[in-house]
Amino acid sequence: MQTHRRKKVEIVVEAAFVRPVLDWLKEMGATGYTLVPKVSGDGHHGERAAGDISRVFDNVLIIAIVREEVAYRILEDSLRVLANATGIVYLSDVEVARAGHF
Amino acid sequence: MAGFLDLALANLATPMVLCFALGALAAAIRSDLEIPEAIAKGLAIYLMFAIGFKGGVAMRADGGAAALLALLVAALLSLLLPLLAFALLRLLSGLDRANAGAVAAHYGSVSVVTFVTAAEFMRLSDLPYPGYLVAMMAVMETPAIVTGILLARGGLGRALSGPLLREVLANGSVVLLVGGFLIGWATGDEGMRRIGVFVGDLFNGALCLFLLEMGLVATRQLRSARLLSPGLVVFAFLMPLAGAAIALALALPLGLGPGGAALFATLAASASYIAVPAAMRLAVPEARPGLYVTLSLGLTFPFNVALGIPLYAALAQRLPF
Repeated sequence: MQTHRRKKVEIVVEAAFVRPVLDWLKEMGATGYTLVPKVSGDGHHGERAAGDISRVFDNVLIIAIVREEVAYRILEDSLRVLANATGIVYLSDVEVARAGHF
Repeated sequence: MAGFLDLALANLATPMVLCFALGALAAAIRSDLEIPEAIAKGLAIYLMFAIGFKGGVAMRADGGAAALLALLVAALLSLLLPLLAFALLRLLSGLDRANAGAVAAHYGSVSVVTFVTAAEFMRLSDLPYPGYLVAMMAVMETPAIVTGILLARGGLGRALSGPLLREVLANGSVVLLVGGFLIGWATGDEGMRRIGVFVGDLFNGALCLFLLEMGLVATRQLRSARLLSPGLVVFAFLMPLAGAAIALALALPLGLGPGGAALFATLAASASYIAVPAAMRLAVPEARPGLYVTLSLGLTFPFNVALGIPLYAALAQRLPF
């Protein structure tokens, strides 16, 4: 079967920034996304506990499958967009069946 | 001060405050007690709707020019209190602009849960209050946010973005509160007759469970208090007292009566920890949430619930109305 290479962009970001980040991803060329809510963790900015009453300690995981050029554009621009937010961005290689879909 | 002690002890002996203490104890001994998030949210929805509705029903009887003046004064107080908070913060802790502005916004705004707890306390202590106090709470939520942003950034700039405005004006709690209030106002006593058991009799029990959750949450948040300087801790207790004093002074010419004055003082003394943190993340992202959430939720909220409310009530009863 013929598969096509794409990049998976994963962004773990604090819940407060979800809307602006999703809008930005769309602008950068992502055709869609998957959102995993209520993600917790720990890192440079301290513990992130999901389900927090003030919602400022909640994280979400955003997954988007995009073309390689789009992925690198996103990674580069993320330094600006996420400068003040708590979160991480990383890329990985994936294969998909529907080339026109991503 | 005998009046205060009596009220303080009476306050501490209510199921609501004891539930709060239970939650705090559970968190302190690292119990795995958790109120499922959906239930906590459900309780919050119920409490906000109920208090809004009851306020609206009462407003129908009480409303008028006095109410409008009180609303205006309340909104102005919310707008201006952050200035005092900002000054105190810089004085006591030398905090930078962004963080000081963000924290200040919290203290100009209000905590609905503190208000709800105080309102119950007034009811149990036989201190009636005008229905428009609920409307005053609603108008005090937002103006402080604008002032906070101005102080933190030295200007509004592009801070008032779409997502921020939506967060601030259309967030769930505001819609419920204002909506409930309008529904109560529109349906009045007839409406109360229909849902009185739900918003009246069940209220205290729900408040108990919610305060249990708040005790858990506030105490767990307090673990970050080690990061706070002594000056900030002092601020967390001083600012509510300052806010309450100003409100008590204003309550006199507004003719709020002792119950209304005590509630107004509680509003001025309370600090938001639900609506404002989310707004500050968007508007002043340079500020550290660990700071403002710990101060308002971990320190000021328990202070108000345990000691502040009976104190403001005792002082309000001494005002020459």
